Amino acid sequence: MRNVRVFFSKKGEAIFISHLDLMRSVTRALKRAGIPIWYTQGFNPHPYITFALPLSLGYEGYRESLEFRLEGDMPIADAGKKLAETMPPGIEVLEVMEQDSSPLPILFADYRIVVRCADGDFIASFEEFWSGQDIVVTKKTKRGTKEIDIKPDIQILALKTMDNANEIELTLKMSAGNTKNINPALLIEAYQGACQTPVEIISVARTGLYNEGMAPFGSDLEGERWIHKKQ
Amino acid sequence: MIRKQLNRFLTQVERPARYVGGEVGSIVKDKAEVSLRFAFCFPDTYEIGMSHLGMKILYGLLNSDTRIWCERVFIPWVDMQEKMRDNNIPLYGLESFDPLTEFDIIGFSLQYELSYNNILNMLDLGGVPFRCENRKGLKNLIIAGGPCTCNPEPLADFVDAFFLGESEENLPRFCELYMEAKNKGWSKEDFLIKASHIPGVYVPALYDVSYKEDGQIESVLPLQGAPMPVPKAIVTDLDKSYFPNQFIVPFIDIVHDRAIIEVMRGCIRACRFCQAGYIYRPLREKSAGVLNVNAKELCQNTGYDEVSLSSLSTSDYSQLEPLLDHMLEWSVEERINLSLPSLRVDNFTEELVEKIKKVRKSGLTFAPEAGTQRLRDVINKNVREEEIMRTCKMAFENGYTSVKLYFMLGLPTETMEDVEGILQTAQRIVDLYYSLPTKPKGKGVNVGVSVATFVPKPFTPFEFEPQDSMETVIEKQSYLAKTVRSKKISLSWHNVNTSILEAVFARGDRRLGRVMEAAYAKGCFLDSWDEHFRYTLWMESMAECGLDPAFYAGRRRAYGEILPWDHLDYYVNKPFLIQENQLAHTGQVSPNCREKCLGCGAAKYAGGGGVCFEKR
Repeated sequence: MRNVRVFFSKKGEAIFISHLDLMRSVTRALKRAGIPIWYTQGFNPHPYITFALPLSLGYEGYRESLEFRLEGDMPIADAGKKLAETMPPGIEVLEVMEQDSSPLPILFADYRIVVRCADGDFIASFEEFWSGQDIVVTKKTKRGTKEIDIKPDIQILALKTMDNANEIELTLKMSAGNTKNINPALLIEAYQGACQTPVEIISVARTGLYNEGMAPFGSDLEGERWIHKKQ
Repeated sequence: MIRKQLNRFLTQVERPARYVGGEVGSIVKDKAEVSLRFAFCFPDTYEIGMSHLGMKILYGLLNSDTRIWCERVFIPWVDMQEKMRDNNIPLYGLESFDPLTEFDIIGFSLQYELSYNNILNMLDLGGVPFRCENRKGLKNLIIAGGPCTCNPEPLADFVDAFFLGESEENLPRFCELYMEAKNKGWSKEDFLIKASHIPGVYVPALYDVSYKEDGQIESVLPLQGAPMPVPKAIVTDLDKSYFPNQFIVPFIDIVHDRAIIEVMRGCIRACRFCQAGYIYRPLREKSAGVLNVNAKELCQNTGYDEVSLSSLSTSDYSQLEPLLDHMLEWSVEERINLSLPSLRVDNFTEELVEKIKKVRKSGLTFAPEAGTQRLRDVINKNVREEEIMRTCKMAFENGYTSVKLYFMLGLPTETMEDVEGILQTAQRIVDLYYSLPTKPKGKGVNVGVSVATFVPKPFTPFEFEPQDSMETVIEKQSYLAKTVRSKKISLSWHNVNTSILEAVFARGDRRLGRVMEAAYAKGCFLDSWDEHFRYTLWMESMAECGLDPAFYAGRRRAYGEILPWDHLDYYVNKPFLIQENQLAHTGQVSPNCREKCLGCGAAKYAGGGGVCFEKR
C-alpha cells in the first residue's frame, strides 16, 4: 500500500461541486479508472480519500490537493494517466506522486478575487478602509459566532482595475489551513459593512497553497511523480 | 449566453450543480449537425428526475441516433426560479443551455398526478404556450409518456401526442416521422394525423369527447380516421431491447444514486389496487446473462458502487438466484453492493437472505398492504400472516433489527377492524422479535408502519370504486395514532389532501385542464412537496370551473359507465376488470399468472413471449 498525492485544478462547471460532492465524484472517477484504492476497515468500510483543504462552493482552485492509498502495484504514471481521463469535466489532474512522508502543513493560500462596484473609486475607498486599525468580522464557529480581527491574516498583494472599469481584481495572501483558515469573502463583507457600498463578488480563485516557508504546498515531498503533459 | 449569466448568481441558490449539467455521461452534440432537438422534461426536481430509469433509457436511446440530440430539463427549485425570472433567463436544456423554445419536441414524463402542474410551470418558465391550439407549427411539439398516460385526459388540452405503454420502439419511429415532416414542411395537423397511426401514439385532438348533463361521458368519437381503441405499445423481447451501458453520473446526491438493471417488466401478481400490476402486462423477464453484462458495464462506466435489481416484484424473477450468483462473482471483489427492492414475503427464502446479507445490511421493507386476512383477500394480495411472520423471523435470525411495513387505508370494504389489524400485525412482529432466543443481543426492534391512503386507479379492478372521504380517512388515521402503544412501532402516514387530488386527476377527464390552468394562475405547482401544496386553492379552482372533486374521487362508477380512458387499450379488458371487482367484493382471491391464466387480455398482444406463453 502506497500513499498517493494528487494535485488538481477545479474550474468551469466543476466550481459548483461542493466539497462533499467532490469526495463522491473523485471516488467514482477512481473506480472508473480501475485504480485499486484502500478502504477503511470496520463495520462500514469506505474509500480513504482526504483533501488538503476544502474549497468553498463557487471558487476556482488552481492547484488543489488530495490523498489516497493505492493497493497493489500499479505504477504511479499509469494511475495518473487513467485518473486524468476519468475525472469529471472541469477537474484536471496536474500531478500525481507517491508520497513517503507527510508534507509540511498548509499555512497560507493565495486568492484572486474580482469584484464589481457600481460607482465611485473602489481602489481609493478600499485603501482607506484598509489603512484602519483592525478588520473585525463575525465568524461562525461550532460553538456559535465569534468576533475576530482578520487584518493580521491578510496581505494585499495587488489591487488592479480590470478592462471593465467597474471591476477590480484583488490579489491576496491569507492565513489558511487546519488551525486558522480565513475565507476571502469575509474581507469583502467587512468592506461593504464599513463603507456601506454594495460590492458584487464576480469570481474567486484560490491560486496556490503554501507551507510555513511560503513554498508551494507539497514541494517538500519526494517520491516518484507523474506530471500531466497537456496536449 | 445563458451559461455565462448563470455564474453571477448560482452560488446564491441551493445545490447549484443541479443547474449546470456537465456531468460524466451527459451528451453534448453540435446543434448545427443534428436534425431534431428533443427536450426530455421531467416535471420534478433534478434529484427525482435523475433517479428515474425510464429517462436514462430514452436519453441514451435517442442520443444513439446521430441526427437527434436529446437534452434534459427539470423543474428548478423556487429559489432558482426567482433568480431566473429576475435575470430574464428562460428554462433551458442542461446540455446546450438553449431555451426550451429552441427545441423541436418537448417530451414530458408523467410519473405522478401531483406533478401535472409542474408541466405548466416549466412551460411558463420556458415561454412555451400551454394550449395545443396556441402552438401552431411543428416546433415545440409537446408529447408525454409514462405510467400516468394510461389516463392522460386531464392533460389533453396541453399535450399534442401521448405515448401509451413502452416507448423504446415507437418513439424513434415518431422522431423519424417528425424529421420527415420537418423536411417536407407538413403542417402540425398533417403530422399528427400520420403519427396517430404509430402503435401506442394517442393524439387527443383526434377524439371528440361529449358529456352528459350529469358530467359522465356520453361518447368518445375518433376523427380523421384515428384508431379506436388506441393500443399501448410494448417491447416483446427485453434481451434485444435497447438498454444504456452508461448513466449520467450526477455530482450531487440524488434519490437513487446507483446503477440500475431492469430484471423484468410487468408483474404476475394481480393485486387489485395496483395499477402497475395491470398496465405493464404481460410480465416479461430479461435473461440473467444479459443482466449480468448490463450491471458490469454500468459499474465500469459510471464508477457506481451499488447496483439495484429493479422490477415490480424482484423475488418473482425466475432466475434471481443464478443472477445473484453471477453478480457476486465480481461484485464482492469490486466492493459493489447489490440492492433488491420490491421483495415479497411469500417467496423470500433463506438462501436469498444469505445472499443479500453478503453484500448489504440495511432495513427490510415489506408491503402487507392491509391489516387483516379478509381485506388482504379482497385486494388479492395473496400474502398470509404466517408468511409475514416467517419472513420477519428469518430476517431477525439473520441479524436484522428493523423492518418496515407498508399499509393502505381506505381500501374497498375496509372496516375499523381492518384498521385495528394494522397495529395488531405490527405488535405481533414486535412480540415475535422478543420471543426469539436467537435475536441479536442487546438490541431493540423497530417496526416502521407507513400508512398511505388508497387511491383508485384506472385499469385496475378498483377503477369503479369510490375513495374514502377526507373525514373517514382522518378518523382512521387518528384511530391509529391513538391506539399505537408500543415505542417499538413507529407510525407514519401521508397527508390525505394530496391523495384526494391524486384521485381526482387519476380518474379525471378533459374538463380538468381548465382547473389546472386556474390553479396555476393561483400559484399551484410543486404540489408533491408538502410545503408548496395548496389544497384550498385547488378546491377553489375546481369550484370556479363548476366541478366537484367528489364526482371524480368519491363516486362509485357503474360497470356500464364510459370511463375517460375506455378508448385506450392497455391489453387488460373491462370484462376481466369487472369480474375481478366482483370477486373482490365477495372476498375471493385470484391466482397469479404463473399459476393460472385468467384471460386478462394481454396474451393476444404478447408476441409469443412473456409469462402468457410460459408452461404452467
